[in-house]
Amino acid sequence: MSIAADPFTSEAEIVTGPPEPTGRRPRVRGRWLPATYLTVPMLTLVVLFLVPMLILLLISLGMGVGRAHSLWSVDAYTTLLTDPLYRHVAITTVVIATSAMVVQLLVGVPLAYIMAFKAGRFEVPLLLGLVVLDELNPVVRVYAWRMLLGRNGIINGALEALGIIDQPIDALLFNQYAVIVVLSTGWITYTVIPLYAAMKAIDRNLFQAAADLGAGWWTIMRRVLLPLAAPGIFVAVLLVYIPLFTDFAAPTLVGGTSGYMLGQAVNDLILEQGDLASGAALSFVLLVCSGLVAALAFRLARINRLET
Amino acid sequence: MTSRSRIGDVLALTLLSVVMIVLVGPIILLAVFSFNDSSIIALPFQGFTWDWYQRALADPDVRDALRNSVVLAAVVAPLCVVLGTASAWGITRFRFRGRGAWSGLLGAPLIVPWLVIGVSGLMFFAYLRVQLSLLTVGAMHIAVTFPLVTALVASRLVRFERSQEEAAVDLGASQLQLMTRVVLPQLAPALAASLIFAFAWSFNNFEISFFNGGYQQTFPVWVYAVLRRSDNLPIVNAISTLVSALQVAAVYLLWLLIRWIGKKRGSADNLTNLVAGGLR
Amino acid sequence: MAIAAIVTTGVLVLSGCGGGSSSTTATDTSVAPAPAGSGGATTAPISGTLRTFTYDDTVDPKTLDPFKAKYPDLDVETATFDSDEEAAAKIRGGFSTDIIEVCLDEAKPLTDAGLLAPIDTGRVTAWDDLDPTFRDAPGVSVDGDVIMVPLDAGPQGIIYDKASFPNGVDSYQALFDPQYAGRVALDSNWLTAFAETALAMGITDPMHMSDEQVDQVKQKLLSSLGQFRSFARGDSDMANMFKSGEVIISDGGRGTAEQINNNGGDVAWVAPKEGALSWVCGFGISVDAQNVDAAYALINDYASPAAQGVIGNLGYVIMNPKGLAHVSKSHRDTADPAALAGAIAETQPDNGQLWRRGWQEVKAG
Repeated sequence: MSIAADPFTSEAEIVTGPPEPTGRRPRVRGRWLPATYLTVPMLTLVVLFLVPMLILLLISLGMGVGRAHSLWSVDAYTTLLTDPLYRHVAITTVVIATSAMVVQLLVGVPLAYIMAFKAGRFEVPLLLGLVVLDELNPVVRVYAWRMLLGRNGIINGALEALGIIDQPIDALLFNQYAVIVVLSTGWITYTVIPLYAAMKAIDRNLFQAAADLGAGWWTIMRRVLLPLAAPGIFVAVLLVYIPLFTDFAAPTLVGGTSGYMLGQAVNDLILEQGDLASGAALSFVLLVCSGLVAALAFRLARINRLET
Repeated sequence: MTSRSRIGDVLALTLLSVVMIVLVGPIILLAVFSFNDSSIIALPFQGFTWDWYQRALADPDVRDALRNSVVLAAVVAPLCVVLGTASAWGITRFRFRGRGAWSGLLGAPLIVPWLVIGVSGLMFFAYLRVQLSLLTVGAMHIAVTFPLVTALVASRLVRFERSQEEAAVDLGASQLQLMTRVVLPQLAPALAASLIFAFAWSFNNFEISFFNGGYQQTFPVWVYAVLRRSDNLPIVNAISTLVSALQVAAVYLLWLLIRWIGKKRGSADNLTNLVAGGLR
Repeated sequence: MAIAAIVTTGVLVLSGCGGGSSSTTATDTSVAPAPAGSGGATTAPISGTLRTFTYDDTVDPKTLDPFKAKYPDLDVETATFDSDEEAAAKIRGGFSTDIIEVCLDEAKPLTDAGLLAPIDTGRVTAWDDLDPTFRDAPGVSVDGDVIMVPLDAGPQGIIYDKASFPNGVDSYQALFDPQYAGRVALDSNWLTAFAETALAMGITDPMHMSDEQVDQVKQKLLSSLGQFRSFARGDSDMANMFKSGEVIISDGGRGTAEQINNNGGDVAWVAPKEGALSWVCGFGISVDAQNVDAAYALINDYASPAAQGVIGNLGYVIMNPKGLAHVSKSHRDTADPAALAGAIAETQPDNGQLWRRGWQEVKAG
């Protein structure tokens, strides 16, 4: 499992911020103490997560399931990595997931800023709204988007009524843009809340101080807000960007014929093709990539932080 | 103030309204269409009916599935909070050999697709010849959900002023006293946020519940089983609306409770801290 | 260090388990035939627990409740799935049950893994009454063993919007007519999508295509991608697309068309001249079934005329013609197995892996 990057530590350390001044009390107060806290959780993880994943890893390397014989090889991996189909799907996935993440950050950063500093008594309703967003059944949610974006949907209807168009626009639905819209709105709770939390921790006086020193609006945003919100951005990327790769309800239902993503590929491999080895192998490839993304986000966030 | 900041406020308000319309609009649409007199969720609205709610509430399968999911989440969420808090404390407050590896292990369940975890859990239980039931579902839910709590609580812990903890230890407080008197009260908002998210993750999980479940279905498993026949979709929508409303009510009540406790204790925690606290 | 220890533990645990599982599967095989051998003993009291793993509508209270009433001492536990693929993956992963709903097009993963026990047709009361076309269909028996008792079926043809097609539609070729580009949907199912495309291309025996033919079908689909608005995931999805005007023609089952019409749509369902496809599903018995007597009791109940009548009223084609007497007038035509004469039973093709892989390429664009 060492292949999994270390998103958790990185996160912990990043939020710690600047190195602690030396001369503090040593942290280890007893050799047995960590064990008291960690034994049960770690045992849970080893038994219920690590061992099952190891079984799956062995399957991806050719271990037989049930009555099948074991044929040890890395074929599942080499096939996946050389298969043009998966390269194509991977590119589609990266484009869609990255766009969705960027859209969410572009919307999420101002939204979180407004919630943290401007919303006043609307702060709580806004937060509640975000929490509810996350509670909807993902399949049902997609049908709401169909009503909005469809050929005879609300947006087309409004545009036609206003005389802006005389033919419904087909391109609103069943393509990659629709997938990006639906994914972005589906995950935005997990983007905005960490951003908002990070911003909530910022001392408002900093903005005033910066303004007093003559910094313009843009400078304040870039040099004060963004660096201080960087940990939140990191957590958001961790909680959202990586799962975007494996989402499959939205791409299946609004992607039409051009929104096929890696999450669907894993599903199809395991469920439709019954090829557990390849499905597992693809998951482990994804796991390694996720680790790299997490490490990269960590680096970027820390660099931002050091700039301040 | 200056006209500049007034323009800023207007811009902010505009952005906020547009975003909230885009985000909340679909939810309201769905809520409206849960009263639509048609088994296909599509425009136009064909008339008002309570039918879907009546059918949903009359169906014993729905009741069983909802009960199973609620019980499951109600058991899983607090356990996850306990495990997640303990591991967050262990990871952030101690330096020990293998800390990095353990942290990596804690992060991994957050990034492996649930389908994959579900399938791996199924094979694991099959090898051990463990009968699948709500217990196996619960066990797997705990394994994938408590690391989320760890992440939420740990990021809060590393921001704490340690002076209080250190003072408590200097004054001879035991670990138990340190926990109950100093640490947990400060963590309360993060713990509440964790509880909400852990509950939601367990309640809404389909893949793990499907593969590790036996003959007692959870609500999402029921949903996917009946969605194959389209006349069930509005029933699902009605329940989904109902469940969302209940969840909002629950979160709101929790907020009132926390605020009430906070007032009694004189602390300034409010819902914003409650939801956001964990992620700071 | 820690990692090495974990890995070693994992491997140890794993190898221990692996050994355990292979020895138990061995006993399973030796046990499984025994109940079948003890045939005849159908009069033994049915009690204990019966576990079923089926589609949700198969254990509809309308069909299951009479069975439960007949055997009050029997406890029926039902688990349901949303697709055969999920079911196969779950059963292969080690899920244990007595009754498995087997559909002919999806039986192969189950039979390949040896998960279905041979059925003693002598214990199936209505066996001789079942419509011979389906009872003797390829796939019902594998290597001389009957693996499932067919109980219902459903034809898959074309659904079209009447207003857009005043002259009707009679061929799968309409799905590929460039005139309707962007207004066509296909059910997201590798088997039906490939078989229908093959029929549209003039291939007459789609269930037995050569590898080259499968490839041609794939190319045809890939070059017609602009034709399709979306690949529908299930009935709900398809009905939604017709209702909201996204598509005017698609493949699909009669039930979907009926539902669209019941909700203000105006569509027609036709069996194309190339031949309708039809799924055929029924019950199989798991090799690790623990209550074989109850499993046969359930099969006998579902194959009985009364229960077949209920299934017919749900809109499906029934397999026991004697059940027609119990079907309401409005559903009698659609329930009659004779109505499926000429339909092509959906069975798992030998080169199914190629089809699935091809379909994945089509979906990926």
